[in-house]
Amino acid sequence: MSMWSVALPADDPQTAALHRAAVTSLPARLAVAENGTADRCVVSGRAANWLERAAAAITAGARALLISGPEPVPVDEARQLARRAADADVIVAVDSPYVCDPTFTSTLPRLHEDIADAAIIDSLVSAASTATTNALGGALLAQLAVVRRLLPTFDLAPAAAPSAGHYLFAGSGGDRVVTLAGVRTPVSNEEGLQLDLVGVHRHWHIRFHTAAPARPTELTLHDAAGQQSIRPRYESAQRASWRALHQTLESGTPPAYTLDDLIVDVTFTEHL
Amino acid sequence: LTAAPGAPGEPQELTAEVRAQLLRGGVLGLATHTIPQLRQFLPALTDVTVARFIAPFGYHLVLTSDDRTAELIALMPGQWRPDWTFHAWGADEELHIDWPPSYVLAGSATARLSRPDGDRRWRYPTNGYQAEWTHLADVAEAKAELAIPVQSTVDDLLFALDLADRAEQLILGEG
Repeated sequence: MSMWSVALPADDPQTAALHRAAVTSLPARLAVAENGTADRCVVSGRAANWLERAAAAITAGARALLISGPEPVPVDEARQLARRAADADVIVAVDSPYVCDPTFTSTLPRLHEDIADAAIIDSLVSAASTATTNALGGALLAQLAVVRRLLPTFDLAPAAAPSAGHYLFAGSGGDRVVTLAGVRTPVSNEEGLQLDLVGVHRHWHIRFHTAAPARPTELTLHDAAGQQSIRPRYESAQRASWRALHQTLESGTPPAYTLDDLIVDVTFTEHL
Repeated sequence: LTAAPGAPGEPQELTAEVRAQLLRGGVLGLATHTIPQLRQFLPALTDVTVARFIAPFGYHLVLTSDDRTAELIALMPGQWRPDWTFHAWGADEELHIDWPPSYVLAGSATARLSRPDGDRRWRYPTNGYQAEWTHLADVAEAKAELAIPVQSTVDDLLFALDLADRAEQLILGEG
């Protein structure tokens, strides 16, 4: 197993701290490069110019990039970055806060089985009211990543005029009602994503938390037998993203969530 | 919750007229129970932007009023435990209410008001029906004034009828 050095974003201390915790917890695979030169690089997607920073990291010789929590960008420019990365043989993975969550990914096979029974896929994401102006855009991308992992295709349209404080999209995927709502919340411990898959026979309630990095995702199945809580995995999505990216570099398996996946979601938001 | 009416079949097998009728029944039979809470936050109805019947019996409604949006979503019968919740977001606080099933002596709903400095919760040993009967007895014995004026209840009903009409028209308009 190879050891890789990682450069953290100097301009975003919060993102850097999250990834420092993840990287240092994988000492056999990763190490933080304190002098800034590294073969892997974290780019904070919360920066308005994250595409430029990613391109600069490729030019500087990074072999792999992890885009952390990206906010929306023009899809053409994202495609340009993908082409540039492919030309330079650089792997670009995306650290999406929910879709890479280990408790969620370990339960995906059961969720896929139960999608057929679902009549409603209802999701609500909460972003801190103190977050960046475009935080709801980033929350929507993170929400789409999860919903698309469950249901690859669906049609949505705005159900109400979006504001700086909320959005609501509604539509359908097959016979299912699909809703994507987002709100800014003044309550920091309410930040995260709630997802309900509701059918006559089963009701899955999924709660992703973002306020505390180590707080595990809650997945609860309610059915005729009662309720079952899925065993939580105390591993953050960031750490899982790093494990997956290391695996990509070692064995060529695709990253958990790729730049191409992000481009699909960004394209989706541009059509809303 | 109540038992589901009939066996409506899959939505694609239903005509727009039947779906509209079923949705109207859903609004006046089920959603009407949440109208009094809803009107505290959305007193007037400007538009209904989404109205959809959900098989075997349920609905998805989106209502707007000025800069506020409300979403009502229901499905029954479920083989899982009953679940009836109400959630409201404001600029400074959030309100979340969980109700037990209707018509059972399981105590009140649990209301949680969350603010940046912490949460407050309320729960009482009696449910809304018990509270209403006790209150009615107090009113009959002239110990109290009606807590909710009759006009307010009439306005709730008018709101529900308006919502049902608009939802019905939306489905019929979509064909």
